[in-house]
Amino acid sequence: MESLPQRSALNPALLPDCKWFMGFPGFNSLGLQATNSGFNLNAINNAIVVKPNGNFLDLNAMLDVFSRQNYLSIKADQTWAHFGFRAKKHFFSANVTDKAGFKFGYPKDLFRFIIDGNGGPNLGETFDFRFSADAYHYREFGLGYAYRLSDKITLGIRIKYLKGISRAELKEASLKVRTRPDDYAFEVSSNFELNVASSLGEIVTQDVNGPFLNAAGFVKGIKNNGWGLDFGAEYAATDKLKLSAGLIDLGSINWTQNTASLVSANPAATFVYDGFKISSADTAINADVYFDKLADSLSGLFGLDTLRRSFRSSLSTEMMLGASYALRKNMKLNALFYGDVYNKRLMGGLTLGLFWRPVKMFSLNINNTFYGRAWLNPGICMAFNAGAVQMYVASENFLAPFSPGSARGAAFRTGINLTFGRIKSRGVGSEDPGRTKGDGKAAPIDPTSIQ
Amino acid sequence: MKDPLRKIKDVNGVRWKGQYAAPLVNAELNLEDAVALVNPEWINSFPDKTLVVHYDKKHFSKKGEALYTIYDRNFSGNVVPTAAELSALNSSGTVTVVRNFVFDLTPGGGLQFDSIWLKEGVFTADIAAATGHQGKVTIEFPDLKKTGAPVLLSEAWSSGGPISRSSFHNVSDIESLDLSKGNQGFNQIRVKVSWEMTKSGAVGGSEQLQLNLSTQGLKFRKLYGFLGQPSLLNVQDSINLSLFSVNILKGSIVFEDARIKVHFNNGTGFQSQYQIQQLSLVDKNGSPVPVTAYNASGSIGAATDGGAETRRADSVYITKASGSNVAAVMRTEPHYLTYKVGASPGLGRGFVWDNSTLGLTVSVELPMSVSTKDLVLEDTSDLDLGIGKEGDYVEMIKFKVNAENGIPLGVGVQCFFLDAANKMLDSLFQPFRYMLKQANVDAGGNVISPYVEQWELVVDKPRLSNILKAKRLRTRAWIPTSSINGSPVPVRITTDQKLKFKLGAEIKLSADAEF
Repeated sequence: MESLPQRSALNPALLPDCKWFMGFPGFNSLGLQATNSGFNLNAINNAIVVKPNGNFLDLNAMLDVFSRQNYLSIKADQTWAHFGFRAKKHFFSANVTDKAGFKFGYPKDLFRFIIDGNGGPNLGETFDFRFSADAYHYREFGLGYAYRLSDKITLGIRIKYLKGISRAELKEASLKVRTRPDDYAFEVSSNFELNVASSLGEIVTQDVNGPFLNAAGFVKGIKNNGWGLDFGAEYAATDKLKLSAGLIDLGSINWTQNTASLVSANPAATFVYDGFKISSADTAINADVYFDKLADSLSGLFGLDTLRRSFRSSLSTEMMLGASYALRKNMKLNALFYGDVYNKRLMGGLTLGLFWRPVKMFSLNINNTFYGRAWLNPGICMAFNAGAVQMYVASENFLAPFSPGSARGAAFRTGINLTFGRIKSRGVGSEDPGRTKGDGKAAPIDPTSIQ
Repeated sequence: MKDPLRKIKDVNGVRWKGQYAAPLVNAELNLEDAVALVNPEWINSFPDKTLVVHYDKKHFSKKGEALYTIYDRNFSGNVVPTAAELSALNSSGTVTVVRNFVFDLTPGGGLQFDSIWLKEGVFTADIAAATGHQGKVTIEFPDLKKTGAPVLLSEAWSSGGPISRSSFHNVSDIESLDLSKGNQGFNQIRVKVSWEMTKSGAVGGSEQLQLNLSTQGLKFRKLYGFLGQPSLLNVQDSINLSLFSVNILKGSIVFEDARIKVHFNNGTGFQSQYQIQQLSLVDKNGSPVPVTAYNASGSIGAATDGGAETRRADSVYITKASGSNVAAVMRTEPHYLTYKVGASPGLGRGFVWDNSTLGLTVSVELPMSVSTKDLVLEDTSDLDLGIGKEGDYVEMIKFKVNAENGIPLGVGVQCFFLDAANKMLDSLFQPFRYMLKQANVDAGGNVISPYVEQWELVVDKPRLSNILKAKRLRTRAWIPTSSINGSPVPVRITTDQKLKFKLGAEIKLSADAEF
């Protein structure tokens, strides 16, 4: 929402409608979201065959509720400090934000293999049992800068110094199985890489009275460092139409503290099982001995090595493309396309919204987001301004509690800002005191929260 | 909003279809390994790698220790000093009275042992003396030696009076007993008694020493000598040629070089004589056909004495090459070989170990230089697949076979599934096909290239239903040998011929079931 300083998190060129601001210490911005790309109750419902004496669950039809790769995601962020100020054409900002999240990806092929089977039409097909998981917690120290190049163009950049607190990254956990049509032999290949690191031991320490939070550990104890960059631009095509683009979270963290990695000893290894082997070389047929040998071969081929090494994890880079069109002075239509890449797959979504500021002290944004195969994800964002105090609350897919059957996720964000030097008029140009004219812009709640 | 949850709550069954495939067996064997794998007693191979169907029976004579026994024996003797010896005692205070005896070890008769190497048993000497003087008795067995020295038993007493003593000697297998020093024709050992008397009082005329010797449980490790002519073997028996006993529906199988072997394995150190008193092949009606052209009697060589048990092998081969009718009679597919064979030692000296036996093995060898003509085997048995209602879930079973047969034998099996009244419900292959076709051979019956094929067997639900209903199974097997231009030729089946065989299965399941 255009009146909120938090909009710059999506695009450092998007500026608030005040000369300077400061987030309320400790309650600046708190965001929570949970999503499931795989299925919802309605989808399961479609796989149920209604019969007079009771319903049957059609297991084969139930496979349709899954995508090829499916994700469960939980994210949370808490901004501890955030402030910014305008100096003519320049805008400076700084923030300290903790970000944590957990993503788990699972394959549809696993269920297809179990339910449909590997025979018949699936002979010769490679089933890819690819799992992924990513749990992270890091602290971001950001310095933002935006510059109005002209009345039409604003450019922004944010440089972020990152402190990694803990991470467990299942980078690769794939098992590929193909059944050969000519002899039903299984061709199996596997790859695995898990990296973990943690600095929690530096933050939560122990003494005779038990564990306690060591504040100094936050500053000196964490040795997993990284850098990140956000870029953004905004272009006023006409008085009413604005276009924007942002690319955020370019960068990585180098994890060096308390690291451990489990990796495949033979990453490219392939094993073929073509039946209980009876050969001239080994005629001592004993099932126990045979399968013991087979297990030894498999553990040798697909065994794991434990490494103590540093590793680098990239941030989850996201891109935004936005447009807003002013219908009236205090009302705008806005659209935002966004996407990120996870597990080698682009996950995208589109948010369409309507911004309305009926009075100076209140503004409202209503939107709907389309992502995955979910079409109805209504969102609402409200901001209240009482003097310098600005309070906001936003929710995406606020129908989820009332319609669990169709829900694939939900998000919530709230916080308090102290804003100064805000514009006195409503509507066009109201978001930018540095501009002589312009139009308003809706900033949705962090759309990436759903992804 | 609540509808999805209600529909889910009302679910009380599942509908599911799945199709699964898996490799089952991947065999890559040469026939030698295949034979080792199955390990039938009736198949082995010749040095030239030709496989042989082999039937045999083994017989053994009694062991040497059972053929020859050293019985327990007792011996008594008195030692009475002469007047001169008593006078010497009286005058000089000491005298040694020496007497020699011979001890019968066995009852004697026709056997004359020259030497015995003992492994266990006890020699006992009981001494009872009526004497008024201090004394010592030494009993020497000059023919019983331990590490080259005669065995001695000794007892002593310090004063006169009634004396009673026992002395024992346990033998071990390093002790040898020389029986050649006794009287000719007997098994005797010599005993020398020395009684040292030391005067302890007045010398009277009643001095006497009674000696009782005995042996208990003497057992030999080796005997040498004239061992007589005990009957070693007298065997009458038969061998079931089960290959020809199976239910051959039609056709024939011809073994080009069938043979009989009578094999002796002699562990004794004496030459023996064998007699084959009867040797016949019996057809399925019980009519015997005598085997011809073989040596009905002969000698069996003696084993050599290498310090431990050795064996000497002698065989009588009866083959087409030796002019026998055995191969010709074998074409009639006889069910039995009957035989009567005896053996006994020849005259003369020899030796025997305690474990020595004379072994006899009678065998029928059918080298796999073979041809079949329209050979069809058949058997019928009760059938219970033990599959209950779970069978309803099976829509289809498919077997996939990849075969590469380097053996000049093919295999075709047809299973007929019958009801209790033997009415056919279904059959396995529709239409019939061979599971394995025979390798390609040249005119000499040698394999020149394997037969390679991939094929599938699909059993759909209706056929599966018939199979599950079956109560009896009639199995019919075809075993053709390779042919040239449609004519079977004798093929040689060797241990280095190979078979590669992969079997995979695919099953299609379907369920529409309530919880």
